Amino acid sequence: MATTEQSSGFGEGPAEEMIRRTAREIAAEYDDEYWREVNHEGTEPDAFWQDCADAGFLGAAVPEEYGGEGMGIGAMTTIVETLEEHGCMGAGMLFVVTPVFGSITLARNGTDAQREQYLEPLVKGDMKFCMALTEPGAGQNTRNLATDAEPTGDGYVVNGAKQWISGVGRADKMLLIARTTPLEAVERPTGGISLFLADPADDGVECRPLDTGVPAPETQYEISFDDYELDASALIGEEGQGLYQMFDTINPERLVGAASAVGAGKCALRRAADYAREREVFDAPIATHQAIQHPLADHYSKLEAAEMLVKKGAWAVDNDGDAGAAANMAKLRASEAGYDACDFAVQVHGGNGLATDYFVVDLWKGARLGRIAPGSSEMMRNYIAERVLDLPRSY
Amino acid sequence: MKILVTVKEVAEAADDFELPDGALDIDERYLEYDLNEWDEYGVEEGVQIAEENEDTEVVSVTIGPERSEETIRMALAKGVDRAIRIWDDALEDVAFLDVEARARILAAVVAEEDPDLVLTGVQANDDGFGATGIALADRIDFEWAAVVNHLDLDVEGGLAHVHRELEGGVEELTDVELPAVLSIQTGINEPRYASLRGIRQAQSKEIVPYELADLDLDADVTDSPLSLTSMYEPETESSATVFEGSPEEEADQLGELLGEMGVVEG
Ligand SMILES: Cc1cc2nc3c(=O)[nH]c(=O)nc-3n(C[C@H](O)[C@H](O)[C@H](O)COP(=O)(O)OP(=O)(O)OC[C@H]3O[C@@H](n4cnc5c(N)ncnc54)[C@H](O)[C@@H]3O)c2cc1C
Repeated sequence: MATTEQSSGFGEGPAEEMIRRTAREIAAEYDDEYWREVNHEGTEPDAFWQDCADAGFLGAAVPEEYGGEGMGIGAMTTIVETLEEHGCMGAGMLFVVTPVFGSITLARNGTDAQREQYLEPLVKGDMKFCMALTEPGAGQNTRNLATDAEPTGDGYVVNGAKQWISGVGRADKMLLIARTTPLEAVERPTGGISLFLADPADDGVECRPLDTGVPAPETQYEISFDDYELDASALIGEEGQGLYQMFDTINPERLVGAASAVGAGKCALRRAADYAREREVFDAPIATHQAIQHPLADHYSKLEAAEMLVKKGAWAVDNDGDAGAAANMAKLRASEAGYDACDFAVQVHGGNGLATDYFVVDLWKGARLGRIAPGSSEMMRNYIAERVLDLPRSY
Repeated sequence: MKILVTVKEVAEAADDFELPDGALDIDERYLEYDLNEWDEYGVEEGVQIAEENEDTEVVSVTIGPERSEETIRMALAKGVDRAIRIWDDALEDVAFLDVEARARILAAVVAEEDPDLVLTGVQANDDGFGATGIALADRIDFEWAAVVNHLDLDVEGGLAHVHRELEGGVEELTDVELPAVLSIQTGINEPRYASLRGIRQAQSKEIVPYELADLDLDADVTDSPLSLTSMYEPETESSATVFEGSPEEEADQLGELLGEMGVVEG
């Protein structure tokens, strides 16, 4: 009898290798031109998204009772990394915006009614999501969130502004993070914040597109809430506990972002290696020069190292462990290594590196974003310094 | 009903492989393994039949080393119920397993499993014999149809209505009585991706390993009058002639060239 259990040793079990195969097969259906249109012209990646839904990818981390696969963040990071590695530029952002912000938030903290109503359409690809956290006045300092959701007895009235929010224009629902108790009135500055399921199309919500100059599948928006009324049933989880509950969303977000950076970095390096084998300048392919080879090898190995951290973080999330340290370290290492890899890939391509046709310039811009969002490299370092090394808070 | 789908793991060579003089095979390091393209369609066809007809079991069979289980498991993830993998020290030592040997081994599996329908790929994209399915049908005395690009199964009547793709875009419509062997052409359906659900289920599906003796076969089943004598990369030559002028002038030049090359007379 052949063994059929999943490998418990180091390395990729049979299921993981199969997930990668399916992701590669899907990626192979969509060429550079498809992603150029998605990332530059705002074409909807509907066909790609439907393939991901049919393969069960959108429900990878959703419990089976809600139509998902219950496989966890480990599966989701494998999927995103593989798709990005095989040229699906922007898959990472798409997975963060809907499966992470939407499905994971609701699966972890939503009410039964919210799960019943939304998880299935999310898993099937029939619904899009977005998350409004960042504010012009708060930035990385989420404790300073100034968007208020004032309790009215049978609901809330929201006033305030958000900035850089991805995908609002096409989202059916929004995860809104707002203050339900004023900062002055809370015991701890991390308290008094709540999560809501909001409707981006409501009259009380006004959004305007922003231009970031980064090719991406989702447009960013600034949003103003003007006496936007929310029903009590819109509350996700417990009132006032929003920032704590957000870790259930933010750690997966960091890990999926990290997986995406690793995949994009590998994609750039593969293209650089292919180019280097072909391009002859001084009577030999540039790949024969160590100044080209060694950095390629260095960057590749750093991406692999970052990937190990992603796996560690994903394992912690999936086993209900404390994932914070691993998620922050994974995000830091992956986004830095991903950026460096893309930057070198541009260098290997010389002038062609900046030509859109060669794709690496897009990967490089996308990787640059990765060092700022989701969560900047500095904030990852702050976390590691304070929580892992027990250093004093520096700000 | 039981459907047996033959599947093969095939090697694909990297773009820039090297083949030293005298080598009889491409070095392992240039090879990547995957399911034979035609078999993807055979698997999908079998699974679709099982989805449309209750109590239908789809069993895949492959002749291949342990490594090929990775590939077979993808077929299980796409809906095949269980798999049989045949391997043996005697097979390990054979450089080249010919069509007859494969047909003999598969015939022994058919004897064991007693399927109503056997689906094979038209050919394999590594050695491209394109004969295994039909050789098998001959050996087990089943009805058969080759290069099937449309299949409509009448389970009750025990009949397969098939379209066969012939040369020059001609299609032949035939009825084949079950039990039968059909060799499946690419494009007959749209093979699905192995979904996460399928992948999860595949982890607990059975791949039963058989050795030759389990099928009452001896090592001499691999004896073959064929042997591989050499392998080389053909020179690729191309020459392009560009005609210039008005369409009439270009047509004249083309006519002249075809005449010179002896393609047309005149
Ligand atoms: C393309 C794009 C998509 C985005 N999508 C979303 C989205 O969907 N939803 C959402 O809510 N937000 C989104 N954002 C916002 C993103 O998360 C923030 O831009 C990011 O968190 C940084 O916040 P900020 O721009 O206000 O920078 P600031 O907080 O103003 O920081 C500016 C710089 O100072 C550094 N810094 C700040 N404080 C410290 C400190 N204590 N120690 C050291 N360095 C510090 C930061 O690291 C950064 O380098 C998106 C942004 C972009 C560009």
